[in-house]
Amino acid sequence: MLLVPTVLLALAFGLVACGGDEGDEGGTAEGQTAAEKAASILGHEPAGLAKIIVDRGYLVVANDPNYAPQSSINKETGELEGFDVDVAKLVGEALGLEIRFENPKWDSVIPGLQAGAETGSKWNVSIGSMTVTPDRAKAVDFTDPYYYAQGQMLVRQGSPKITTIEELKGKTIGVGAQTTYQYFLDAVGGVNIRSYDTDLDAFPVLENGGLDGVMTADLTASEAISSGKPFELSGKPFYYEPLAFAIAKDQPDLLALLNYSIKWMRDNGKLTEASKKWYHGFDVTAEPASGVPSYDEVMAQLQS
Amino acid sequence: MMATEPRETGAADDVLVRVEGLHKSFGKLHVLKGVDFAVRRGEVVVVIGPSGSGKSTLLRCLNFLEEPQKGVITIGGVSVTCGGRGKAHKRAVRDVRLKCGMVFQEFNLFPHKSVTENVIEAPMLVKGLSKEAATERAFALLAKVGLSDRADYFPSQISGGQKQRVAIARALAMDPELMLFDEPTSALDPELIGEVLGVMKDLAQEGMTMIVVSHEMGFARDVADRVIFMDGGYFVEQGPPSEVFFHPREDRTRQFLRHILPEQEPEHAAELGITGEAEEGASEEEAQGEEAAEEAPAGGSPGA
Amino acid sequence: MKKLVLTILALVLVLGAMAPAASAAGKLPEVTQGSPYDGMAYEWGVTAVQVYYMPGSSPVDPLKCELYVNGERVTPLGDPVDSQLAQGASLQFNLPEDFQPPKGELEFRAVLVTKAGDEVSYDWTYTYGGQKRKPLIDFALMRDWFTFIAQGALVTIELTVLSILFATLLALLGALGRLSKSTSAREAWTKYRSWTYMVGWVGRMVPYGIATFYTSLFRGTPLLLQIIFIYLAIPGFNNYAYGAWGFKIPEPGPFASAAVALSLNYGAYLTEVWRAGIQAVPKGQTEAAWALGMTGMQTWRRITLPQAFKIVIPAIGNDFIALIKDTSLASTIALPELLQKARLVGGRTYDFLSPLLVAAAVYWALTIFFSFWQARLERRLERDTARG
Ligand SMILES: Nc1ncnc2c1ncn2[C@@H]1O[C@H](COP(=O)(O)OP(=O)(O)O)[C@@H](O)[C@H]1O
Ligand SMILES: [Mg+2]
Repeated sequence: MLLVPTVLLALAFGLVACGGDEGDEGGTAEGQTAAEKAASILGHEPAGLAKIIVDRGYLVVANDPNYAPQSSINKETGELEGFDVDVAKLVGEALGLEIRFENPKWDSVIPGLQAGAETGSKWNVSIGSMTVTPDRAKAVDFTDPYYYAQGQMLVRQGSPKITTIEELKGKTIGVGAQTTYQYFLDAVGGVNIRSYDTDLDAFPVLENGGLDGVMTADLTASEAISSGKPFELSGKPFYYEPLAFAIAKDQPDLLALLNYSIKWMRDNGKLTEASKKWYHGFDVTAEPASGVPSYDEVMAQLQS
Repeated sequence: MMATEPRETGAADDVLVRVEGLHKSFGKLHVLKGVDFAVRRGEVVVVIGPSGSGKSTLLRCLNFLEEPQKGVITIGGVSVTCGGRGKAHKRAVRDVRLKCGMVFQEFNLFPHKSVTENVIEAPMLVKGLSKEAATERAFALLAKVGLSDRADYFPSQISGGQKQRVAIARALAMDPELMLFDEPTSALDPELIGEVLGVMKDLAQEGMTMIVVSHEMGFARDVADRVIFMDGGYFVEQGPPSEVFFHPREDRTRQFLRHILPEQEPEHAAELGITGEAEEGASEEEAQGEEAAEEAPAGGSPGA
Repeated sequence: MKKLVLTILALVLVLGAMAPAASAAGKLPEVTQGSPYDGMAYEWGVTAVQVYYMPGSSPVDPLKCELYVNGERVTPLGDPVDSQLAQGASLQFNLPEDFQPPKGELEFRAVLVTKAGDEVSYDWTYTYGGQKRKPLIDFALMRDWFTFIAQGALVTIELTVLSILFATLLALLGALGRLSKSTSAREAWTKYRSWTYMVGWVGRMVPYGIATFYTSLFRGTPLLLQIIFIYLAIPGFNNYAYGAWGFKIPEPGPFASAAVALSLNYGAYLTEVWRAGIQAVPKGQTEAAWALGMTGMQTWRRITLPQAFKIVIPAIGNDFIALIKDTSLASTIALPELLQKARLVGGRTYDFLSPLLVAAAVYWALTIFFSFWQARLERRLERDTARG
């Protein structure tokens, strides 16, 4: 019912706001246009969303600058920086596309991808450390994983570690809303879950004793400790998770182009380079050694 | 109907205002029950009558601030049949309004405009006069009402008498052929009444046609060509002031004057034998008065 | 025989020589980075030191590991914590409460000892700013990030001004609609008893109905919902429309969504303000204007509206100030306005208090600024308070 007036005003504003949005033709160093490049990668003319994107020459990337070191803002320039940001720029390099960033809230990333499926509006791809999960795969399509992280528990210095599923029961744990950590804790059951806009919002609460722990990515957790939060990692992670780009469903050409770009940056070492730059010299782009179950395995086990 | 024409003077084109069979009701309240009258050019008519008798309504009907249900109003050659709708009707109404200037009991000056601005507003907007021309004319009119030194004041900064004089100047600025005054002095402190009446007297002497609702006996006696006594939605009695005030034919007029004369004209009241006591033949003439009232619009020609 | 003995001897020698080599061939942990390091995004909080390493073949024994700062051994608070990361591991030394390193260049040395008894040491330096634990209110942080946060104020102001303009326009239309109903159906019928009049009356009810519906809907649903709805519903609508009918309407980004929602919402509130304001202009004003021959439009523009404007200014001013603050709701759709920027800084620096204080101060300054102008405007219009 809000739609009628909304549409009218949106028209007015949209015309103003979208007026300057016509991107210049994307071109590569060799003078090849993005469309030509895509055609040569795919072996045929791109179709669907891929066509819209290569024709206009830019890719809109959803990315939340609330997660150092994946993505945050630079103090001097106010620009985005981080691992995901570098990866997105590499995608642009691989495909000859200009990269534009949007910073939606985490829980609107997937709706936005779906919303732009036909028109290419909002954002076209999430390069934001999204875990591949079967549930999400129903709503979006995932590329090949570009790196791996672990679901870690963060506790106050000196407080008891939480490393087993039994120890989780009855605890009050903070998580970012709609993260795998939330899904995992939901599946565990009996956990008092507090979900926040971002994982970071949970840190002050943990610091003040309002939470028994915060579950987040291992490197996000470690970053908080480096900054002086009186936390410690809770030792053993619960699972590792493959992280991938996500796009709207049923866009095979776009998916193929993005997978090409991931392979491209793996093969030429630029992905590893970016990883070592942001993750304390680690190469997080390779699947972890055995010993920790994957997210899918843990969930399957919990649900059985 | 033509017989309503008061006094014997002049041809038809000498008549500025002609009202025929005017009916006005508010819902079930029938206020004007078929009023007929005419006003000659240059004539000054004073309307008196008890509160609620429909004097204001009559004036407001003349320039269509109230839309009468029935009747024909002709002012300065523009004829409007009441109860009409549509463009032509609206235009005729505006033409009639342009022929009338109106002065209200409550002044109704525009508080957000200075004295000069009040006067030049309508000539500029309605007549398309230039600001210079309008201002020049405004200064002349303000001088005429004795307010040259208040030109730049705001309505809130001047006295009631001054406000009413500005209101008169404002109405005159539109060069009306007819001036309507609805109790112009009723809202004024007694010491301020004189200055307004003075301006009105001057106006009358210049030959302006005026219909004045007022109970200022002195003014009526000195200036009015005709006094109309209104009651119960009819003209009960009309004639020269000396007739109506001092030799009222109708008992209802007499009763009404009994409230007014002793206060304003004590010696004449005494002359008339009106002292606030009941008088002879009251009950007898009561019934007769009712009948006379019915006839008054059609037949009343007191001056003949 | 001698040959055999020599061979065995040689073998023993070689094996003996190889024995330590064999134990050394078990891979040692390899340290990749020690934290704090220069170039870190934030001041070191002096609560912990972390050593990132790739584990060797024998796991690290945290209890045996040691930390030295400027050559002096630091006794950690509790046992060092060893954690497995996605690739590699981290060893965390929690620092004692009273630990206060000197300002300047610090030399760190971590010694990692494996269960097999191997030792690996790693040295690194870090230039310490001398600030132990973040102060409660971090003025340095505020200074560093002020421009970044204040840039959000521009977005906030832009959003406020645009929204109030459109809201005022909408409100005027809405108020006209709300005022277009002069009589109830029953009154109209008893007064005129004419079917043609009643048809016209119904026609005049349409703007009234629309305006009433509009104000009711937008005052009756949360502004936050409206913002999110516009941001996410139009794309959804487009998606459908594009698939089904092959067209799309321009899609509002975060800014346009917020502006549309704020305009519509405040337009609904201001509709009632204007309606009351217009009704508060004495009837005599309109009549005086009509009597002077002004048309309805002229009367409206030159007489009614300016006077109503004066009446509604305090209320509009209040709404204006409320709107400045409500623009912060746009942070939920990630519009980089004041609050969102402050939160970003909070996320980056792990300190929410200081950036939020900066944002609060800017909001406050903005509202004071606008109140000041409102007061001036009111005073300017004060000269003609009294009725003419
Ligand atoms: N707009 C109106 N609606 C309803 N009744 C009205 C309206 N204006 C005047 N009346 C009524 O009409 C009657 C005549 O009023 P009015 O012409 O103002 O009388 P007067 O000016 O002679 O005192 C009164 O009873 C008054 O209450
Ligand atoms: Mg009256």
